[in-house]
Amino acid sequence: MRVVIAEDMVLLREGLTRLLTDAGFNIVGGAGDLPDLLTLVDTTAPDVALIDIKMPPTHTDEGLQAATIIRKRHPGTAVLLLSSYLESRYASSLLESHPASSGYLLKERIYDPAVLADALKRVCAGECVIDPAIISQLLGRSRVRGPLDELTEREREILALMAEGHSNHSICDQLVISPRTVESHVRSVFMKLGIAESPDSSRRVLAVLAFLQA
Amino acid sequence: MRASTRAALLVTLPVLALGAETSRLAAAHPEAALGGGAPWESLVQVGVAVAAVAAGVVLMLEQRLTACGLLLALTGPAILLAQLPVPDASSALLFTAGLAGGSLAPALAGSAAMACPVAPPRRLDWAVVTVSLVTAGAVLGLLPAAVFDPRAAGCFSCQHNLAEVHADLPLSVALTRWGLILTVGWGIGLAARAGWRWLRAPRIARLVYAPLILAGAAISLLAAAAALHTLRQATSEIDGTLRALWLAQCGLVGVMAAGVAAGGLRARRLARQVTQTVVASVPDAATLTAALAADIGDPHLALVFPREGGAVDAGGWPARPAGRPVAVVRVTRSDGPVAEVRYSATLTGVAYLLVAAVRAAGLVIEHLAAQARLLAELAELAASRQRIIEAGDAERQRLERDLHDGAQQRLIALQVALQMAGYAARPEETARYIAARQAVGAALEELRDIAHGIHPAALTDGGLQVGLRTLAETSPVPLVVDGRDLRRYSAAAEAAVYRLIADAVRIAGQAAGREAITVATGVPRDRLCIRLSTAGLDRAAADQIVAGARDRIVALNGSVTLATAGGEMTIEAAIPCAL
Repeated sequence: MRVVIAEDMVLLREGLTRLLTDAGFNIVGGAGDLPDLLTLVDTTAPDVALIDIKMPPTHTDEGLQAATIIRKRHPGTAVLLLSSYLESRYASSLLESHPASSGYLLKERIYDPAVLADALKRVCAGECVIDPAIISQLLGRSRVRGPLDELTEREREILALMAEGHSNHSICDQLVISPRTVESHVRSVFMKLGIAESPDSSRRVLAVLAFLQA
Repeated sequence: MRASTRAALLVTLPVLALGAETSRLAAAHPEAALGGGAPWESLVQVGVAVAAVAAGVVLMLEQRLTACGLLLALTGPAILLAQLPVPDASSALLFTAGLAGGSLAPALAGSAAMACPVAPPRRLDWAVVTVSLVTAGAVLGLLPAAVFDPRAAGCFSCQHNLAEVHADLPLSVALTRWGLILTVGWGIGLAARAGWRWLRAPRIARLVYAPLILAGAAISLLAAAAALHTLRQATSEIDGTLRALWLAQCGLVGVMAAGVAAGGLRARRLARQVTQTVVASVPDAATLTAALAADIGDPHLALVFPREGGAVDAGGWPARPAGRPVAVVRVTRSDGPVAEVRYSATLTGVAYLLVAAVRAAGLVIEHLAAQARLLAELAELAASRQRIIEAGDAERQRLERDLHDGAQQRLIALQVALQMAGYAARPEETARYIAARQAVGAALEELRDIAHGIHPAALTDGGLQVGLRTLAETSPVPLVVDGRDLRRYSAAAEAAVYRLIADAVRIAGQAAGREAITVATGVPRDRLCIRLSTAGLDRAAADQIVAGARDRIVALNGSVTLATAGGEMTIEAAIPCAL
């Protein structure tokens, strides 16, 4: 799988390159800022771009801008954003514009090649990925009593997996249950929460996220 | 008695003495006296002469109209010299003076009218005045006197001519003839210019200077008429027409003097009115300014208070530039300037009205000045307090970014390095690498909390709404945010409101009940308003939150209030913000 890495800290970029190379990825290039990244993607057309959200020149949301541009120009290139903020706002902004083949991962996970590789593979496969820590924080936040309290333990598990971007198929694998069971759980969750069900798993993530953020 | 009044009286004494002598001679030789010899005729001329001198002195001393006052004051003795029956003068000095200065009075009075400060003088005005004074003083006065020998003219009883340098009777006659022709010219010209200047003056100046200017113009016209009459008559006989014209001119000089007196009375009345306004009402700058503006007829008159770093108005705000030429009446105390009255530069001629009124309102102006300075200082203090808060916010933002972009990134790099070192390590060492990596992970989490506590990035990046919704994700109590207002306000206002809510969330999290907090945001009338309500706080906790937020919010000219209804606490905060 061909990967480009956008990260302004050289030490980290090199570390990531070695980690991912060891894990069997083909790193086709690295960039330190937004313009470099865009040129790199234009010339190499990688399968996936791994992008730090804060990059020069302004260190605000260059990564998010890059993701939008890349998804528009190169529909074949997936994007995985990295950020240190344990907050859902960047994830929602990212998914609102391009729900499929995009992901948002906490930066402190990148030392773990298994997690990183899994996320990269999932976005390449067209799924979207949202860091489990963000979803568990959203699910666990204190809120006034509402429909969430009506869910069973299993249904909450499935809701979390849906919010992290897993497709039904992927949920089956994770929980080791039959597709039919997953489907009936999903239907039940949507009914209890009062969300319109969407066949598209990426659109589904958006709906669930919006519900959890409200 | 005022100094100016005393001076005026003092100057009139020699004039009275001269008047007594000229009147005596005129009564003895009425046929040779221009104004006649009857007691009433003498009374008119001497009275007008005294009045003109007194009025001139008052103009010079009280209203600071030096040129106008001097010319009017000189008109007095000039009238008496004209009254004198020259051939019968009692002394050589008087004879010579009558010979040289007998024609001066109308030119002096007309020039006094031209010197009234109703408009900046043009070159034409200077020319007319110069011609009038040169004609009356030289062509009709000194020059013919210098070549006039009374004996050669057939007057053997006349006194000796002190000014005579060379006897040339025909030249003297010719000069007089030319003088009369010139008089016709300047008389008409001066009257026209004076009238034009008066017409073009601002209303209040027209009102104040009407007697001086219009009477002066009329005198010039009468002088022209008298000169024309003499030219057509071709003799130097004094007939009824000449006498009537002269007495009319004297009467008009009286009008000029009366005009000066009326102007003085007007200033005094104005001062009294201002005093009454001031005493009758609470001294307030608007009332005082309006009274001064109405009296001088300048609606844009402004009362300002000079201060280091620029003048301020009564509210302590920097005074706006006038945007037109202004003149200034300054109020000063021994230790420096107190106030300035700025008024239209076209009205400098009536400045004395303003000076009298301002003098009457001195105490009030001083009071207003003290108040204005205090307000200006308060505003400065408030601005500096706001700057301190803003600087503090900016500093916290910078710290947060430094932690995030610096330390946090290095720790992540360290984690990656530890991970890779772990691969290469011997199996028995792997556990140590894992432990080290976990310690770095814990440090990262702590660092993230610290950075967030210093300043939430979500607030900086996304504004209040995004900041609050992000706060709700980690809030220990349910935080419900109402409103979809995504507008941005000043960083300081956003931070102040956010801190209040974050404090409430933190403190409510320590309470047992974990009751929800509802926050509504809105912007009615250019104010960023929030209402926070919860049943989860007791009075002491709510007081603590409000006390913690008050300094910041008040520094931004905002307000924060606390209300209880039933078991529910409501905290409302409002901060003015220009959108």
